[in-house]
Amino acid sequence: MSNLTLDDAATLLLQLDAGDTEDLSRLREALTTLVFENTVPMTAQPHVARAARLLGTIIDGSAEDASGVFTDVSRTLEAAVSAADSASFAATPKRDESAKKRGAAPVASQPVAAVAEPIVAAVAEPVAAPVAEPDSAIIAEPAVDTTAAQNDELIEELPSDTDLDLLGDFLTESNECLVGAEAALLELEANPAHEEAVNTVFRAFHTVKGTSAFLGLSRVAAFAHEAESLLSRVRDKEIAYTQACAELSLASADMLKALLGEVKDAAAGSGRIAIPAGYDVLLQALISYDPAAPTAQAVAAVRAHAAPDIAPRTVAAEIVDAADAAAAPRSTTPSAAAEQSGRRRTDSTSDATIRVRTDRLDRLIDMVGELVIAQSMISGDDELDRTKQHELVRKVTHAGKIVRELQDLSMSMRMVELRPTFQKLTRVVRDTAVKAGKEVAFTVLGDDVEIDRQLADLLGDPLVHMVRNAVDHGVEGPAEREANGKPRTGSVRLQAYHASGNVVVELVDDGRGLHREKIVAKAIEKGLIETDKGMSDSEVFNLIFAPGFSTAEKITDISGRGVGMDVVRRNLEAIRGRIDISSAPGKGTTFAIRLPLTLAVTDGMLVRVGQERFVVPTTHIHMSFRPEPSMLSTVVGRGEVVLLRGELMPIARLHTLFDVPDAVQSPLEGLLMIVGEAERRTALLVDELLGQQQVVAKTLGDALGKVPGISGGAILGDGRVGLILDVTETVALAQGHGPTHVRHGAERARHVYAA
Amino acid sequence: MKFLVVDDSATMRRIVVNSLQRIGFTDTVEAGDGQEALARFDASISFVITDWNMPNMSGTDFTRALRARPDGANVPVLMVTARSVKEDILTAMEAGVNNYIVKPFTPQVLKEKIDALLPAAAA
Repeated sequence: MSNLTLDDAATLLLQLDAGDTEDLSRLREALTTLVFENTVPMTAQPHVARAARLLGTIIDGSAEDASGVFTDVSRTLEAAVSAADSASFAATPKRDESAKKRGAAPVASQPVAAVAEPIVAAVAEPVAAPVAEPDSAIIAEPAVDTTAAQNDELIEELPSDTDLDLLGDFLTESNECLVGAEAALLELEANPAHEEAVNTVFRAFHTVKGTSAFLGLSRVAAFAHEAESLLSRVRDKEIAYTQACAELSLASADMLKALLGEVKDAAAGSGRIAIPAGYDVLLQALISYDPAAPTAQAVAAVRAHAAPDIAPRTVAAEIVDAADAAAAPRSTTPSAAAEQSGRRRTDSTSDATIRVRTDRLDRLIDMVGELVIAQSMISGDDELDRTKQHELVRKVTHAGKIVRELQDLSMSMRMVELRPTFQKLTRVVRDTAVKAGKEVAFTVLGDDVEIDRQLADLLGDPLVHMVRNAVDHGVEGPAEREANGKPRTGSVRLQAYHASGNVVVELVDDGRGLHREKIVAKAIEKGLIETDKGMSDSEVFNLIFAPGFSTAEKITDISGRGVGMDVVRRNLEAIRGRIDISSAPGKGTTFAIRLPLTLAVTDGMLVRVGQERFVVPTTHIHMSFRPEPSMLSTVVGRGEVVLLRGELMPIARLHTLFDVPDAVQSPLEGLLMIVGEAERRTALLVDELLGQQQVVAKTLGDALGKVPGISGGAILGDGRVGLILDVTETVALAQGHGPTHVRHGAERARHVYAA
Repeated sequence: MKFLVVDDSATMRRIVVNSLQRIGFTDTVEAGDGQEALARFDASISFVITDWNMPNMSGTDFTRALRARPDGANVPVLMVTARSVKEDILTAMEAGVNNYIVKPFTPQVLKEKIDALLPAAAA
């Protein structure tokens, strides 16, 4: 029967019993072979394929109307024969003898592969196909406790003939796919029936699998294969996209990302791919995934244990912990080692960019900063003003111009988009929402805003904290929201934009808002304030940032928004960011973070107070003026105030705050400098303004630690030291909310610098 | 002899194009999905190699649409796939795909697949 021609098959069909599965199977095999071997003309091929497929549905019982389908098969085969006939009249292709009339060519001249032979293997050719047999690659490795066996499992060699260029393309594309997949997975969370999202994820895994197989990355291919299979089951509606399935899919995307990261490092360095911890466990979870089985529970357990963290290694490691201990917890040392060796070289797989260690870049930028100051010392030298050597002056000016350009250039080298920083938060929102049983729509705007890389890095943690808080405590549960006439799904929006030389990052939620009374009560209980009399809402809200403000007790009905908020503010202030809160009960809360574009250089106003000089970051200064006597007065409970354009502002004397002798005492003789936002606006009394200057900020050093009101020091144009004012803290100090040891600290700071 | 290579993965297209070059076929046109492939296809194309799963329009839908066109009825279509389930392949062939090749493949296997379909193309 294996040597059937199309005509033979058609004839045979007429004699067949539609109920004889064995005969049907044989016919089907023969037809399949005909199409796979391309022994029928192209025009006949679709018909033959259809006939074979239809026969398959009769055989496996999936055809509802077997006899109807059988008729269909007959018709289809007739169509095939007539298509083949007309093709053979048109021309006589080399390989279409079998389609001709039986008499024209001997049947035996065109032997068709034996039916018994597995057709797929015969056609697919014995190519090395790790994809097809993931099991043999993975399961065959026994979890033996010998070092050699472990090394085998943890390390895979990058094939020696790897085309690095192609590999680079592959990595870039795969990472894009996976980022897209993650977004789609999160979309699925909101809308499990979103078929295109399922397809996107499926395709991402599919693409990674297909291409990695070509590159000989068998572990990657095997893993992607199983992940793809899971998604294809979802796509075919074989399994529902449940929470467990979502967790597994996300963990799989993470694992693939981690694997690809290792591949990249291997390509740059040792050529050895360290297999991330948890690989086998996750792979097994994928292979044996059953919506109702313990695997699902294990994954759920992982989720319960996992902090909503985003590091792929962490997720993987937790899965190892939660799952079978027999799977031998793996050390991550080899991967760490591979990573190190990888980082030591530049990235050979991409040609337009090179990797530079950030500490080198930081040093470069610091040095350029110092160069700017050294240059300004030269150009500001009195000798230069007096000299008759105009040529020298011209040269110094020229050098100054170059130095400034160099500075701009060095700054731009470190600017990165906020996108990666923001992207991680999507996952945080999702994980937190799942845990807290909230429904949250997360929107990101302005993630293309660029910011100093260092700032972007340091901004990450505080934002994670804030976003988590917004979802956990800000947004109400669906039921509560509905009861209050709000949509079930809460909204959390993260947006970034430029505003007067700063970058503003706002986190806006439409949750329950902050409760002034509860915060005040807590703050009084904690001894942070005595009364809220005279305090604006904004000032009250800012109390949640105060160190020692409760973290455990209930502020916003669940567990307290104060969780680590002092840490958040400290982190933000370390990067000279300012955070402000506005909130309306029942309507939501907005956190606005204002950041400088870069940390390397501070644009500051140099002011004199007595013999001391302070640098006030210009971002905080609204205006400076010498007041008229009529503008000054004293208000009970607020002390000395100045009235400017109808607005009353407290006056803070810097010389008093920092204990500076011989300073101007009366505002009428000095200058008032308006700093701070909205209700916290304060007029700082200084002796005089010395001019604007860019300074390179230095920390005060470990010996001094943090001095309240001072964010750092800077070497000024004349080589002397100036203290950089921390405006937010200074204002708080002036209004009596700050700690009292400020004078000590400032004094110590001055002495150290004077020494 | 001009090839149309259809795949949503640029890396895969590059792999296919590289493989084609190594077996002596240097004239290639690329498309990122079925719709683009339909737009790119014209009488100058003598062989189509397409991926199966692509956004916008899959390889099977593309082939079906191609077969419905007078200029596309007779061009050989080779499908690149990671699936080797017979039923799946039959579905693709029913849509008009002439043969398939399983990823990963060597240039040699690709050559054999092409050679097997080329005489038919002359028809």
